[in-house]
Amino acid sequence: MPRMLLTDFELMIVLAILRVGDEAYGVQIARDIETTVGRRVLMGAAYAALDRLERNGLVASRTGDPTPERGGRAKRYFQVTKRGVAAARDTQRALITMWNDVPQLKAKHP
Amino acid sequence: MMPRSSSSLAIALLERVVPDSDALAGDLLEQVGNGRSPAWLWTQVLAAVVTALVNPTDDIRPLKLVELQPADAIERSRRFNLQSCQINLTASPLHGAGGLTLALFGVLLTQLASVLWWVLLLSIVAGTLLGIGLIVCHRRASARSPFVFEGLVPRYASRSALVLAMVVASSAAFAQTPTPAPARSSRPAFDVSSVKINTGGGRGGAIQPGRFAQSAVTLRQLIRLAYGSNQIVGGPGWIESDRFDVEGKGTFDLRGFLPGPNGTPPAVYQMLQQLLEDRFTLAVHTAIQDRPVYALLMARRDQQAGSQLTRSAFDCEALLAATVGGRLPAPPPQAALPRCAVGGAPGHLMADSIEMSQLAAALSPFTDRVVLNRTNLPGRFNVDLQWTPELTGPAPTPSANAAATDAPPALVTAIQEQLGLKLEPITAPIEVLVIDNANRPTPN
Repeated sequence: MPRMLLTDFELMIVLAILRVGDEAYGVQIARDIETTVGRRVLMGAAYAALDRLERNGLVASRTGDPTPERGGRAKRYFQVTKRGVAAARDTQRALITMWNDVPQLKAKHP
Repeated sequence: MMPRSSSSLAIALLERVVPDSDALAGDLLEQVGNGRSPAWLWTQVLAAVVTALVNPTDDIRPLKLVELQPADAIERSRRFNLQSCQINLTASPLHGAGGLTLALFGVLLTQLASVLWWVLLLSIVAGTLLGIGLIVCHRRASARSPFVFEGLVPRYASRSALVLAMVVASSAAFAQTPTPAPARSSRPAFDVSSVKINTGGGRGGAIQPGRFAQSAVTLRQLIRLAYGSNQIVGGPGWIESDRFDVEGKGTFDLRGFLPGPNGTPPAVYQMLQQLLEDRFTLAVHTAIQDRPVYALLMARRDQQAGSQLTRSAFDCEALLAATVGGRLPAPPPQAALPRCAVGGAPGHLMADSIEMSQLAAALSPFTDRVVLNRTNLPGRFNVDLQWTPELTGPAPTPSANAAATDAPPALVTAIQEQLGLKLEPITAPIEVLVIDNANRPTPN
């Protein structure tokens, strides 16, 4: 099977899901990225990426029960699949390989 | 605090333009409730709208389905027929884009030929009138909207296993067939009914001639039972927490728990609907929403089933006729599953002589999604499926999650290895039951 590499935003989302745990849903995923990376997250873009990841079998989602504070709308919990973890590792490996081949960057990271 | 109307307008725009945006809308509302500003909400909504317009999802469209997946196309067409007032004049896959496009066209036209300003004015007036007409038409249709029963898999108690299992099995089959619910005026009602706040008794139930009872049951569970829908949206929070003891008595036998000859809902469940309306002032309507579901498919290229999915030649129709006719067969051996039934617990699903549609319905509660049968396997099967159920309780640590995700998803893998089937995540239009109103019950 060909390796699947993630974009930077997809990688952040996959890592955020793994960091948050089994109760990872949109708000917590966005919050984790914003607080950790300092990058502002557009929820619509996050869901577009999550849908794309799910279509590719990299994450799986399940629907929770609706709650009043969400206007009766259910949370959508996400979990990274085995394939998603493999894709994150492949992406990490590819980036590190490229990183190591750049002397200017290697010098700054002893 | 953000004005409610502004928040509602933003969310309405989001749900109108962005398909399958229920969870996103909920996330945004939750964050607004936690103090996010109106500007933040509108920024998020507009960005989501732009994202959806620029990157449209692979929404299932009828014309494509006719070519690729006839079964889905037929299913979708059938469902759209139930919503006779949903008209997309522009055939645009993005709801709402048609109107915006027309408005933009009108503005451009007035720029090119200013004397044609009246075209824009006429368009706005005509569009407004058309919108009002469609809303009125939709509300009238909703008032007589037929209920669709799908995915009903009540779990039954073991003490009345045989009779109840037959009811469950036939109800699951009934649940796969869309059937209109009778109008309120023609709906039967219990002769005597009782609704009490549960004071500590355990969960249980009784299905007997002339008596229907459920103890320690939530309103959500009752709605699921009465309307045969696993996809319930909305309602106050207490419908999942408050527990009640419900009992109804009337003139019916075991046939009252079975679908009618024309596929009408079981009479007892119609009585339960009436009881919920009377005592909980429950009001519901159905809507079609694109939701994430699982398609149950053959996993192997040779289309062979797994070792735990074996064909059954048992005549369930004859057994069902004998059961409701009072000629009960001998009870099954201890710990054995009744014939033509499905049962089990999280981690173990057993079924005797069920159809694949019933298996799909039985798997739904364990996946938190509706499972649609796409196997095209005819006939009946015996099933013995074992898997490691997902853990519930406090959220595990991130490291635990990472370790868990290294392991294959237990149920999915079990289905593939043991049954030769697979669950494929897709988005499909399904009926959801929307709770418009519910109140705690009035005293008896």
